[in-house]
Amino acid sequence: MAKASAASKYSEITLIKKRDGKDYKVQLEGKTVSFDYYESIRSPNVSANMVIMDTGFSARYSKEFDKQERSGSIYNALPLTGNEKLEFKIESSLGELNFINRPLLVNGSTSPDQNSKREAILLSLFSEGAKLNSESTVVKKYQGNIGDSVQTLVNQFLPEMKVANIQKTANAYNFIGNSKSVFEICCNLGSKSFAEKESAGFFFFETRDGFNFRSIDNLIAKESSAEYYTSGVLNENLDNPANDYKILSHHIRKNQNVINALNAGVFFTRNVYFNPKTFEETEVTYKFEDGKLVKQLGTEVFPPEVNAYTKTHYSILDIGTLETTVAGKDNNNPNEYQAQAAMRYNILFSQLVDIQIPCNPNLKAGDTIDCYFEMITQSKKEQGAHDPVQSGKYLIVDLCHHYEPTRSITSLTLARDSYGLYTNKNK
Amino acid sequence: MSKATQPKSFFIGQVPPNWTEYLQNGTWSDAHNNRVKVRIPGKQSQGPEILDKDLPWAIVAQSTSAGNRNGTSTGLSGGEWVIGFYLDENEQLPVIMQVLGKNEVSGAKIKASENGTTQFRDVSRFNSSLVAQAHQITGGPRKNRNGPAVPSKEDFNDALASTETPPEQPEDAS
Repeated sequence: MAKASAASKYSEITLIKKRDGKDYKVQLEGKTVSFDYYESIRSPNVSANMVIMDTGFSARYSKEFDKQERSGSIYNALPLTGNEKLEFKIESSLGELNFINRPLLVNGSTSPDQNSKREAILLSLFSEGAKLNSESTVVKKYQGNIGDSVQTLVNQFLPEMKVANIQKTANAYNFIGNSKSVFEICCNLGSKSFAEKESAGFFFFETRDGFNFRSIDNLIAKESSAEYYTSGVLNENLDNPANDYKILSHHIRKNQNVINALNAGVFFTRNVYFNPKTFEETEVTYKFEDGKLVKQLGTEVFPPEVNAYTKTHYSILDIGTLETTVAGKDNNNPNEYQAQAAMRYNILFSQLVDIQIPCNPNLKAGDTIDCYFEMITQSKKEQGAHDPVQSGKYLIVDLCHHYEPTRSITSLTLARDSYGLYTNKNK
Repeated sequence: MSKATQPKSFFIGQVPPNWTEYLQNGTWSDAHNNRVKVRIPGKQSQGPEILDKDLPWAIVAQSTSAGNRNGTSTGLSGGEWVIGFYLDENEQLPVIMQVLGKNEVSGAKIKASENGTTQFRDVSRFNSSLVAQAHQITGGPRKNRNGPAVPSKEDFNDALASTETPPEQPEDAS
């Protein structure tokens, strides 16, 4: 087993509940059977699940429930009622997952296996941002650069939460909150945004570093965080660090879905715009070949030959709806981003690969990694054993760091928009 | 998941006084569709978070009798409660379809927004944007046919006395 796959150390894992105005702490080292930590570029908050095995003596009942204040299991003696804090720090050979200063909160718990001597407790956890989001109601008007609006919203509704990277957009957009939640608005703004010299399409998501609002092109142009490879054999010496970067298993979940892509308007769309001020109707066709895929992960995209538009985007233009004066200025014309964003999002997810690797807590959703898959051939592999089409740079879409008493694994869902080892488009 | 509990498209809202394109001196080239601003309960707050000036301009859909052969005013001057829908999925482009009937003597409280908002309170028909004209006053002699009608207290009492069951009046009515 590679060193990074070995059992990790819970340096600290403490459940904290407010009881009688004081913090009541329960140490969960030695009770934690498994711990799964999740991030995704498609999720505005991080989350986790953990399983605890409790044999009693974990917490004392409060006087309110038991006059003798006897000890019992966490589930009933604490008791677990939701919103408890979990501070944790898990150390693996390649790094650590540290949520000491930013504890996760308990969403809910179940006890699927209870008997007189022990019980299993399943806890689902979420980041504080998710709670603040539920409490948020966005009413005000926001105007100007979309990146600035996202920053303002985060500052206003998610105060003291960490911000990792909020990217400025090239376009401005005026909107009112309409009593929606901050996550709903920020995620929605992603598809209306584009950056300078990049394709349209942003993601709003949280990693352990904080909140991100970043363009797809910005994510894929970033330098790879690590290199992973597939191989049928382990390198000699189990402590060989190369084994920590071996792909333990992988499966290709998706490699194109032409009909779905056509229906989503990835390659050829008709875009119809109605101007409610002038009553002018405009039609613009947009083809993949128009060259709006500015950056890509691999060498080549192979769009199918499409002879007619396969989707119609219909929009009513916003002509000064939120202006203070009567002046009818154009507000973020969808012609600038709509068809392009539909293309960019769909092309990104045209190839999906699930891989399992030895635990690497340094990886985050939105990072890129280089994957080298083995070439399947009867020929000799002296000139390189890596498949030149499937290998290359991939974007981490979903991530799970999984810890259990005997091993630690990171599971990733990787996305790719093109084929081939290299690209020269991301300069 | 949408946080707003209202139906996705349809809304009931209030047109704030003084926020029609005509009253905001819209020029022919800028103004369009006789727009008015609209404050929508459940979407916008009562309070100062969003002032009348920041509300969206709503296009006013008119009856077919306002087609090219006729053309009429929308008749909205502010204070009316209206029903409408959004043109877009993101609920940024409101259209007003109809106005809800109003009984003027139900107890109008304000004649203009206070600190930039009506707070959804009842707005007098003759508010900051519309002054009662002589032809809009029933009862009492017309003292000036062309200017605003300003009935005297006696005129008002006579008008009240002329009805079999006089409606209840606000204390400061005169």
